[in-house]
Amino acid sequence: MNKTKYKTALLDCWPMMKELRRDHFKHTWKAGEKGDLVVMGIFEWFLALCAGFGDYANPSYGPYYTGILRDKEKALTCFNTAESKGFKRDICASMRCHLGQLYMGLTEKSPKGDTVKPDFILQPAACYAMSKTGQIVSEELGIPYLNLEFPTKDSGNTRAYLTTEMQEAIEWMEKKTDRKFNDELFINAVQNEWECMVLWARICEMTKTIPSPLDYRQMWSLRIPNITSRHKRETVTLYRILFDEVKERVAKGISATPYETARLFHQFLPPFYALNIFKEPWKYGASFIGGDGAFTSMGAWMIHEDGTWEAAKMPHERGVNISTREAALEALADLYLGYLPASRCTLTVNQKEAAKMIHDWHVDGVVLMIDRGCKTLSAGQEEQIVELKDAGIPTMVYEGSHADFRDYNEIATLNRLDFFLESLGLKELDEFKEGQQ
Amino acid sequence: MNISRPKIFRPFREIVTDRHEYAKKWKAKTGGKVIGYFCTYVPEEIICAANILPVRIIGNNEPQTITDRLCSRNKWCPFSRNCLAEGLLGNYDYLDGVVLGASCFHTQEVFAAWVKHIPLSFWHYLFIPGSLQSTSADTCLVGEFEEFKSSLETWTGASITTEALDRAIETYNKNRQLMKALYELRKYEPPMLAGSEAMQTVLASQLMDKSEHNNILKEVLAQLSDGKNNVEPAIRLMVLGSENNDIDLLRAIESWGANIVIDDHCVGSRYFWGEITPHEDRLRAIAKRYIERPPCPTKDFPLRRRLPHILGLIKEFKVQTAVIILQKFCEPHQYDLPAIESGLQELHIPSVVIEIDAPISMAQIRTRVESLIDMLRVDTY
Repeated sequence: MNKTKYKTALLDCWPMMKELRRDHFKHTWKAGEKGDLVVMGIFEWFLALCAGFGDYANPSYGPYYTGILRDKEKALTCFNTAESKGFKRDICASMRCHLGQLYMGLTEKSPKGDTVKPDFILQPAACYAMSKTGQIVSEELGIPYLNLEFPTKDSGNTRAYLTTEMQEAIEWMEKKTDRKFNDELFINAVQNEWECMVLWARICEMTKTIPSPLDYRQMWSLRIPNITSRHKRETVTLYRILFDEVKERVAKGISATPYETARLFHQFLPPFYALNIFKEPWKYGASFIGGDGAFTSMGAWMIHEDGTWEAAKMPHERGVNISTREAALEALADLYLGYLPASRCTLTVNQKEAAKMIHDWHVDGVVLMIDRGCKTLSAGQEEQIVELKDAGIPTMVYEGSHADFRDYNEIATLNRLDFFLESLGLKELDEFKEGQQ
Repeated sequence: MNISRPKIFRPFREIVTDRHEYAKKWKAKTGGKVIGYFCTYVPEEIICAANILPVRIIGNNEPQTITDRLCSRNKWCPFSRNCLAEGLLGNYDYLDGVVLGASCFHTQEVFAAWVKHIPLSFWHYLFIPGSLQSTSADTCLVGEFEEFKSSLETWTGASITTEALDRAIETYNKNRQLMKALYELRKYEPPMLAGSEAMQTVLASQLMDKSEHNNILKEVLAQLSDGKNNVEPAIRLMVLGSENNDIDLLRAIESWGANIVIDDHCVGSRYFWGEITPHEDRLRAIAKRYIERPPCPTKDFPLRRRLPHILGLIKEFKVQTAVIILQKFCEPHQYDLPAIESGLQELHIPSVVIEIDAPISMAQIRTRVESLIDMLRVDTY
């Protein structure tokens, strides 16, 4: 067991990340004043596409999603509302939260009571639930809806299809908004999107270091601007600063947590409303230092034949010049079909690549959440568990839901995690027993 | 129990019951290859043109434990679990390859698990766009079909000729015409055949050589057209929803006082509805049919085409009530449920939703379906 006590330090760019997050959420209600578009749908992919119309707001999952999940009473009302409309509890919890907001009349209502009419729904079909929710929201609110296919395999044919679809989506948006698409803005946004995703993967790569310069709780928050706003210049700036800061921490041996008695991975989505699960190992001196939920939520990765994960190279580093709309569309298709592992998780990520990643990050144990609601990211979960066990990697599996607190037993899960950590030979550290955390 | 004349449908019943034996015999007789397919969006015509027998992979609706290590009972639908079980148990040991037409994630997971755990010399993943209504979907689908055709040619070492495609298209179109003619007989009051017999016929067509199915079906139609009708009048019922190949369940529903007169699921009308219109580009012609066929919920964007189709069937087949059958954890069909229930209510069609697992809870289902039928009997008589 590694009992070294490491230096720790706060992240300087943390306030910047929080500011960007706040700006994103406030933008929905200010977009009207600024003349910006409001794009609905779970718009987390191909963000640059809408940037050709300038800045735009994007209240993914509904404008009150995060706040509702944090408040059990509100969450219960929201889920009950969706379920009372006939949407069964097995359906993705995030989508039920989105639908709950819709039927509660919150989707278009600002906190001050103003009505904000979204311009359209652009839904990349990353999963069936998202596409269907987009269709329902469109029907209820009378908003134009486009389901942008997100192919589940990478081939010349699917790339051509995706590129054509995106071109058609641009024409569709021009028609629906009566605005002209600006290629220069789009090209810049594509470059930003690429750079954020590459930087994020490079930052994740640095957590291989012992001690890890970041822990998973930090990463879970730090990834948010990368999900919501990576097409923007200020987000690139954040990740450039973060990259430099993390690099410096590695050089100086600065750790995210004082101890690393065990390095843990959390695979698949965690319970968003109970992220204290990431802090539970601290009392044993152990730390979550990574996991596919954060690594693949908008990290651009190359996965080699032997399963090794490596941050992708930027297009210009590979001699690819993005100077026209066509080139930018191809670059976007390349990014999402070639370098985003989560988009092709069904056949690949959850198996040997996961075991290899866990090996290369020097992980002592893996904690995995089974979420019956998320059909996409839970694809191949059991196969991965078998793969890890067969590779001799200690694993702990718990059931939960990423968004519905009713499907997560916190006390039982944290107890199980304690037992798991003890099974790794860890003991509660005296300084934590004395309440010094 | 409401069945028309058991002898007429016996050949289909036997093939469904001994489906593995049928495929093995076919293989021994022809020396050809057999491909298992997941999902009815797989263009069987191309497989048939390569002189390969396409066989739909289905589960056996019985409880099993062999998949417990690989797929959670709390997440996977029972159909997909059982499809995997059949493979792991070696019941499909005669297959030479498998192909997936990508639809729901559970089916994709089953396919991935098959590829990983069951050694076969050929597998192919067909990407089928969800936005089949989009203007570029046909080009994408044609591209997928070209890749599939090419990989079959490489695997078999023989090219698939235009003539072979034409023959396959003709055979499949014939089958669709015959199936449609059979379904027409369900419009009668009382219908000329039971719902369980209709399902048996569709299921057999997914498991056997289509030309042979056509020949048997022609005889069945000839026998049914003799004017005799053994089916008793009863409440006219529609079944719709998730994949369902449980013939016993349909037989049971009919024994509780209903005639199942139409369906919308992929072991029913959705499988054969819509023919291929001839076109110089054969693959484009095939793609067009798969784009225009009654959609699975995973292919129903951005506008709903499925709901109007179901409501149209209700009117056409004079349906009085509907049973919506959902595989447990079947998210695509769960999502369609509120819209369908609302559409049925607008037409004053009472309905009940039943969720099935393996094994199904027949007593619970009986209570609910019988209540529905009794309620209608009170209103009707």
